[in-house]
Amino acid sequence: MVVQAAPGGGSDILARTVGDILNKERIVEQPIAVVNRPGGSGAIAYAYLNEKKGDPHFIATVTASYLTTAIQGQSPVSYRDFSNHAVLAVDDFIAVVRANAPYSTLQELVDAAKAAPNSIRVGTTQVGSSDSIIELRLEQAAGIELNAVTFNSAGEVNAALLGSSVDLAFANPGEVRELIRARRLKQLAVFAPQRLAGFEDLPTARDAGYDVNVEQFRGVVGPAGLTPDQQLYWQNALYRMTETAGWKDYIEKNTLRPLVLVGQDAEQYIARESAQLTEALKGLGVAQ
Amino acid sequence: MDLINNIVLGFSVALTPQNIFFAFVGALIGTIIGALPGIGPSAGVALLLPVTFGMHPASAIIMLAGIYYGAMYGGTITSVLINTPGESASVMTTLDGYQMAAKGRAGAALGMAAIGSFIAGTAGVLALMLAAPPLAEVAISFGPPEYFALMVLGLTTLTGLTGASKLKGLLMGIVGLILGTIGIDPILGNARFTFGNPNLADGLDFLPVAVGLFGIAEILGNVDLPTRAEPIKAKITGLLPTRQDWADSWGAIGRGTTLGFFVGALPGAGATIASFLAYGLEKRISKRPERFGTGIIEGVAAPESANNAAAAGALVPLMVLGIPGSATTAVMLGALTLYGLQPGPLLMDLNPDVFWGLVASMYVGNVMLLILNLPLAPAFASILRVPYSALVPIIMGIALVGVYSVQNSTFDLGVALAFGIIGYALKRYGYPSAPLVLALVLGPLMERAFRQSLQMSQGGFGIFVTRPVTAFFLLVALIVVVAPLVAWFRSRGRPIPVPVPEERQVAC
Repeated sequence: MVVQAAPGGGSDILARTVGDILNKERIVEQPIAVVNRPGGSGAIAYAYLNEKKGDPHFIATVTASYLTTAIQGQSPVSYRDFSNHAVLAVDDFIAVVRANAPYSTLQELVDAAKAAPNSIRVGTTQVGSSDSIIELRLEQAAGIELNAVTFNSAGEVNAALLGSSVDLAFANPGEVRELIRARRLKQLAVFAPQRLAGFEDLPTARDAGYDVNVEQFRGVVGPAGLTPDQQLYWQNALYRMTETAGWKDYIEKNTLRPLVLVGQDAEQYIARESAQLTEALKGLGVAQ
Repeated sequence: MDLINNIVLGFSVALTPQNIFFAFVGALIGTIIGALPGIGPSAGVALLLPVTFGMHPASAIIMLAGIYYGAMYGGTITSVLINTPGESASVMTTLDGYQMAAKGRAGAALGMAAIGSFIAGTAGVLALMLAAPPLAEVAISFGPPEYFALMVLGLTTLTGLTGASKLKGLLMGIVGLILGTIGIDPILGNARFTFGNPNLADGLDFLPVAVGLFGIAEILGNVDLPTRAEPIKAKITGLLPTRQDWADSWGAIGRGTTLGFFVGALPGAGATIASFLAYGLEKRISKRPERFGTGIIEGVAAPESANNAAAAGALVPLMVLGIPGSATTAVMLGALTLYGLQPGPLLMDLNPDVFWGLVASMYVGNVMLLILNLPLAPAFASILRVPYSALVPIIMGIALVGVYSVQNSTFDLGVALAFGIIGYALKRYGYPSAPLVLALVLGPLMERAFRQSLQMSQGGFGIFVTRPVTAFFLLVALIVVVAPLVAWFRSRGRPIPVPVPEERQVAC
């Protein structure tokens, strides 16, 4: 199992959790070894997997970089070069501000941004990341201008938000849940099609009148050139994995939204996401 | 007294036989991981993460933290003995540590590093215990402009790291800055100088470059000298630091500890930068700056104290706010989540046994590491008695395996070898390698912070003077640069407003 990140990050823990459950529940009898191939926003891992054409013994966990790296022209291979086995879950984004911020709803924030364009600083991770796409879409939908400051990681964005270097961030619920509970941050809206479990009080952006919906999927892919039987094997195995208590526990702890799609459904979902991301990245001026 | 109750609670957790055992295992594994070039603390913690599943969360985090600060002790060993930093926070230790070993004082270097680490580690835990919440607030109030100013200050110590020639040192610093621009643009996401090679997308990784410039170049340099087949022939005397060593190191340990703890607490800075800054500071204020790099004990004591204090400092934002400040604490954050804990501002209230147990265990762990490292210092030092012809292949093997294991990348092996050859040439012609490495690490951070600051101000440079902390750091940096020039003009009696002769003079 190939991971596109260094040991220890969210992507690595996802891969190790999936591998662990597949082995522990005896869904896959062969022991699964995790190989970390970090670097180049995933390009190195995808190139490595691409060399394994036709070998069913390789799988890789992927997230949005699987699509965005190729769209930005930093990887010669795209999702079309792989067998897209399954989508396992999606991570949503919520708009958060400091607890003492003068706005408590998305509408109030938009009004403040309209009154003084570029006065609100928003912390995002790299251009092309899901949160930078939200920023762009929200600006377009609400007709506002935000002042984006680009950070290296979500952790740095959260630190900058707490430290008043920026005023707004779009974060995964799991990263800010505790800061919200401790009343250091407040949440304005979620950019999802419906309200989130555990966040029932939090309106969606659509409720506020801004149809911005960006999610980040977590999936598993394999090299191209597999036989239909081999593809079916992984689709079955991964589907069974998502039914286990261990997986449900992981979903809950990380505040992910379950979304299980295999085979054709996964292909279609990924193709649709890719088309949407391409359009968004063109808007940001970084698509190739 | 809440604090006393909490400390009692902490020790009641840390002093169970089970948790003493886990602290010991963590510290021991950490020492080994630290000593091996390539596997740093973040990879070490990540690799051992699966082992901790099923353990009590307090025991698990005690062991993982043990690996983290244990690695800060262990990194010294290879830096001193074979001029190859065991992990990135020990790069500065190679400068004087290896020179001490060459003079037969490896034991004293290792011993002082262990003692300095112990003092810094213990003081760091004390600070963590007493002042974590307010410190975390100060640390997060550092925004991009403050980081930029801090990096500028770090880079101005560049001139302080150079050997005989300031000009050569500056030149190497500029080369480091240029190499630091390789990779994906941090703001816009364009590829720069990668020539379409995905291995260069994240820039030149710092560890292969450091291993090449320090370790491999050293080997090549020694092989080149036929008369010195056994480079370190000096008798290994003074296995423990002498009274004079103590007198020389005391201040360096104190300053390294204070600086290290605070820099460690800043999200995004960490132990490596802490050790750079501590070394630079020590050389700045020393009465004998010209002797840094020739094997003096405070050159080992300062960075080693700083990196240990930084390891304790890095736990401040993690434990108080749930925000990881470094790669290693990011892994530990993931670990806490896996144990079902929710890292964040409420952790200290909801799981006091975990937080206070961890703090108390760090006292225990630091004592163990001191006991472990002091008697072993002479044993490690005796490695240098092995004939060089036998040592070379072993060192090369350790260094290259280490480089490969960071990212499982053969490209990195090529980088290390290439920089080994470059480093050999630089050594041969008297160009110092340290400024290159320093600039390679600080350059990208400085660039990012600079551009973030300008994003914040929408292009206005006023942001660098209107924020008091930023303005203060930049002013200090300016003084560091200007003061020697002023002193030089004065000593000439008659100021000449043309800087060219000055450069020529020091370059000779």
